[in-house]
Amino acid sequence: MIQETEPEHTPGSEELLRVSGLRISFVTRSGVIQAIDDVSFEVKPGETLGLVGETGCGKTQTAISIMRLTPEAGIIEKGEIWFRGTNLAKNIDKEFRIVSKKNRKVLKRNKAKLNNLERELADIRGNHISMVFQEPMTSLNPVRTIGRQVSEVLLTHDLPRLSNRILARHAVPPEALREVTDALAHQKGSRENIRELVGKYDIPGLEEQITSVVYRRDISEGSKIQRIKGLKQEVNSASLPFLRGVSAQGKIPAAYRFPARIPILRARFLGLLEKEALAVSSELLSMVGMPNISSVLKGYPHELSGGMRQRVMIAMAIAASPELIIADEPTSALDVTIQAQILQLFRELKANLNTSILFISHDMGVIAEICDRVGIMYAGNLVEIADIVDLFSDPRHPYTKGLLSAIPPSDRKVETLGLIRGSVPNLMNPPTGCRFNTRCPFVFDKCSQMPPPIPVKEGHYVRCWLYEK
Amino acid sequence: MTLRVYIIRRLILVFPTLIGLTLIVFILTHVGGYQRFLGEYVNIHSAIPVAVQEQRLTQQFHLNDPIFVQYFYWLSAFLQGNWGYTQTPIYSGTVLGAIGLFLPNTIILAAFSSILTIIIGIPVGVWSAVKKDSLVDHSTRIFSFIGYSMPVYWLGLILIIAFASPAVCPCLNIFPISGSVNIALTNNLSWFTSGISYPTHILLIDSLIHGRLDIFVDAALHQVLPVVTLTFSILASIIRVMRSSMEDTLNQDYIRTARAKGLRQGAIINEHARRNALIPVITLTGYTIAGLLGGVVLIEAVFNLPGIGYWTTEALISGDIGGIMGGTVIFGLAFIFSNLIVDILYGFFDPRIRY
Amino acid sequence: MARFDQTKLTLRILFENVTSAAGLLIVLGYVLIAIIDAVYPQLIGVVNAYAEVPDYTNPVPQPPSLQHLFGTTYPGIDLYQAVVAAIRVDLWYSFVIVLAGALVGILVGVVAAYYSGFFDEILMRITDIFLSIPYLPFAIAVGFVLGRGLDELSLALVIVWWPLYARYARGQALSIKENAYVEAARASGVGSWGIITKHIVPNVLTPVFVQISLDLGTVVQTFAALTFIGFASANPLLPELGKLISDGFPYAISAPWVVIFPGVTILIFAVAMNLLGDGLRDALDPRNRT
Repeated sequence: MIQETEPEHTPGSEELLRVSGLRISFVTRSGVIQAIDDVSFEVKPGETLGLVGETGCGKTQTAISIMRLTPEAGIIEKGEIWFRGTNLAKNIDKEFRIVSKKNRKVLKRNKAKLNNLERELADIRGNHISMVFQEPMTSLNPVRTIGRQVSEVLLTHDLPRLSNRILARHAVPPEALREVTDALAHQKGSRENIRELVGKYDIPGLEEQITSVVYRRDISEGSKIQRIKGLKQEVNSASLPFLRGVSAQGKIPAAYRFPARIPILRARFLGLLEKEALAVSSELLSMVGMPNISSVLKGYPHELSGGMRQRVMIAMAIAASPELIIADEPTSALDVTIQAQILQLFRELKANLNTSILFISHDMGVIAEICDRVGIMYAGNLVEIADIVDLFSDPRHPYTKGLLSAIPPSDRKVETLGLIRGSVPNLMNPPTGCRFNTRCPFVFDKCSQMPPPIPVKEGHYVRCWLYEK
Repeated sequence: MTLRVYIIRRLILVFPTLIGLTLIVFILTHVGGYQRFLGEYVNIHSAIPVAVQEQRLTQQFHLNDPIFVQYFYWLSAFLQGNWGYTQTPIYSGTVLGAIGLFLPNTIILAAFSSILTIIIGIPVGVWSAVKKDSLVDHSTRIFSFIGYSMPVYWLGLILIIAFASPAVCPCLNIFPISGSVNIALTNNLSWFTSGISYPTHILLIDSLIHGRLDIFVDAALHQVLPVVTLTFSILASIIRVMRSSMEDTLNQDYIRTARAKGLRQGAIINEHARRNALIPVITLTGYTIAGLLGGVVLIEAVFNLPGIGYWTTEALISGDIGGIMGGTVIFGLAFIFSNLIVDILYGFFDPRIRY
Repeated sequence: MARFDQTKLTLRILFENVTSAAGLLIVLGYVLIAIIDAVYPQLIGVVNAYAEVPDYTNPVPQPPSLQHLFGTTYPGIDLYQAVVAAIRVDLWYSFVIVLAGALVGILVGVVAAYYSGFFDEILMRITDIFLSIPYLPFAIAVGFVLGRGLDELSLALVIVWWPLYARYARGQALSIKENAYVEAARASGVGSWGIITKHIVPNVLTPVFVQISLDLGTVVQTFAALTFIGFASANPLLPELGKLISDGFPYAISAPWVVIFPGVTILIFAVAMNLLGDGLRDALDPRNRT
């Protein structure tokens, strides 16, 4: 029986995301690949959880499945994905059947069932959960401008924000702006001060615009003052009801749905929102440290380097202020110096925004830099999960120990690096029980059964019979 | 590179291709000796005896000089409008004159077919790929498959049979099966003589100019079967390419990004998929236009429409080199310029190649 | 090892797909008919494989009957025999045209890609000039000046067809040229010609093969279309599908079978060839081979 909404009494409902018992398989011509088996973890609000493992251990597929973006050949066989009180995997039993066709398994999909869920998912994706992909080269549409692609997120999910901003500029009394510029001139431009000053006027969308100018790093103080003064902009009276409708209803009001798109009238309606979205995109790009913002917005992805494209992806990911950002090996396709820059960016975003991050990587060093907690994956299982310091100082699972000993330490000299003998099992016929049992130096008879997560410390769980109480 | 620069560069490339075309025509007229060439440029209606004309032509075109010199003189005559003479059952006179008469009809046929193909083909191709493996998809694929496997002239014949044969239901006798207009309607008209209408030579327009709505309707009906046949054939290719290109596009990473951004299926298709999917279609349009131009020849032959294709087939049967050359030049020019437009469109749609 | 297994895998995937398997069978059926017709025509009921047999006592086209399976066409020619014999003629000419065109084109394309530079430029310019005229009118023009017979038509079609292969093969060869094994071969002293024949051409062949199979269907249609328009053999009674349709054209309305049967014959072959070509292309697509 698949649960659709979370029962009231679930413990730990302070979690943002809870994945439980996830099992994902891929149906191919040569057999069924059991890519992920019985994976469970949570992400708390504001924390950064890392998922580490070798290539092929299933970490990317786990991440992708959260937003139900699993590729065509893959299916979620079992499991629940709880986010904001809904199970995002609620349709899985109705969506597909694996049938046997002359000793081969073939996937039969029921598209209709998945489509019903699409509406809910479309609301969540990009809005409450967003994703940064691994390959910046191919993840952007080559024939659309950057500005358009970033604005798209805002125009899809955050229309009231745009209309509020426009209305705020229309409604703001000039003396409010003068107060702010005076405060800036006298070095009193801290966040709290500004919030106080602006809060007096209770105009939604105003504070955001002022703070975004104040916190830009690429323009001078003098320019900032000019820009803030220039924030007073009247809006055409024909457009006012439209904008107010958008702010009130959260979407384009029904009456305007058609006229807003007519080319000549567009400038008065949809065009205003599009221009505003471009302005917000400009602020977002500034937040992610992009140089030459105005020419980038008009340009195309092929004109940017890998690092810059990844910044664009990140800008798109933070645009609608999601509660969770899933970053799938965002730095793996970049060279090391750029990697460092992007990681720095993530650290800043972590500090400034209050989002949770699910950070996937195969690089322990990267994980160490940025995560609060980390889970280790091996051959489709989550074998250990702990706080970051705890994991590095006190790893328990034999695989984790092997993994960590294979990293050359920077503080002392070692003669040889650790080595785990054997190789990753073929997931078409995975070992029964603990999937590490073919290579584990401590294997014993109980290992032919999969161990449950065993707590060894506060917040530190291991799936290994060695730690059975 | 901006679009403007790209267009200018592409325009410049037209000239070598045009020269290439003239080279081919020149070579073709000179294969196997001068007799054929002379045959094209002799005016049989002139009072001057043929032998004398041949002498003058030999001098004028320097036929005794090296081949390069000959090319030069031929090319200058060509550029001045002397394209020789044609003598076929349907027309006898200068090649340029023939082109002026026949080209409008071919343009009508080609234009209607292309417009219909684009209007129908692109949406159907997109839709078929989006609703992959559905009934719509399967029937579209079968339809388009039969379309591009079928000989276009044979389809024309079948339609003729269907709409005219007493063996099949006579109730289908609505669409005329041959010619461009009912002869009875055009007797004793000042602006319509020996199959040619004035002033534009396009019957559909001229009939409106002269206020004869009945002729207009009749002429339009005569175009239905030819246009449908030609469209069916080209449509099939376009749908097939559009569909497969769309399918490829939907598998791209940036589509996944768009889904991850929370866009709905409609928005993904309109904003991201379609434009990218059109790019290979545009690239292959060149090939499709070649098919269109070839199909025009066949359709005009089957349906008796007085156009360039018909003239060319007549020339083939009656051994008239003028007609063959004229047709080749026209088809070559049409192809070169349509490829030019296609390349420009390609530059418009795909910013990557402008870079 | 690799190449044989690859071929087996290709065939296996091909046969899983019902439609392309059907296509292959139909094409083989046509080839079989052509062969039987050439060697032992009486087996399939053809009296004279090289000429239609007119019956002037009964010149008006007769509908299909037990005597004449496909009916007769003017002047009293048994349509079934004519069509079956014509299959042989059309297939023969078409295969030769495609193979010759492909051969010339591949050679030009690969050589151009291999030597690159000025040589490449010249060859490609020439190819472009040929490609600037649509194939049907071009074939008419070339065929006309060469002489309006079937052999000249074939030559004309080869001339019209090779540039496509040159373009295609050149593209493939350019990417293969960059592969490491070519460098390795050159480093171990293999001569240019050896590299071209042993390494580049075989690897170009695979994708070109799909194109060849698709083109066979097109060429059969084009060949028949041109004979329909007016190219004719020196032998006025040589059975040929396009000619049959053209001969039957005047009688089409009152005796539709006269054009239906030859046309359907072409149609079925084109359908089968296209199914086969599509199936081959899907089978060779690396994504489907996992």
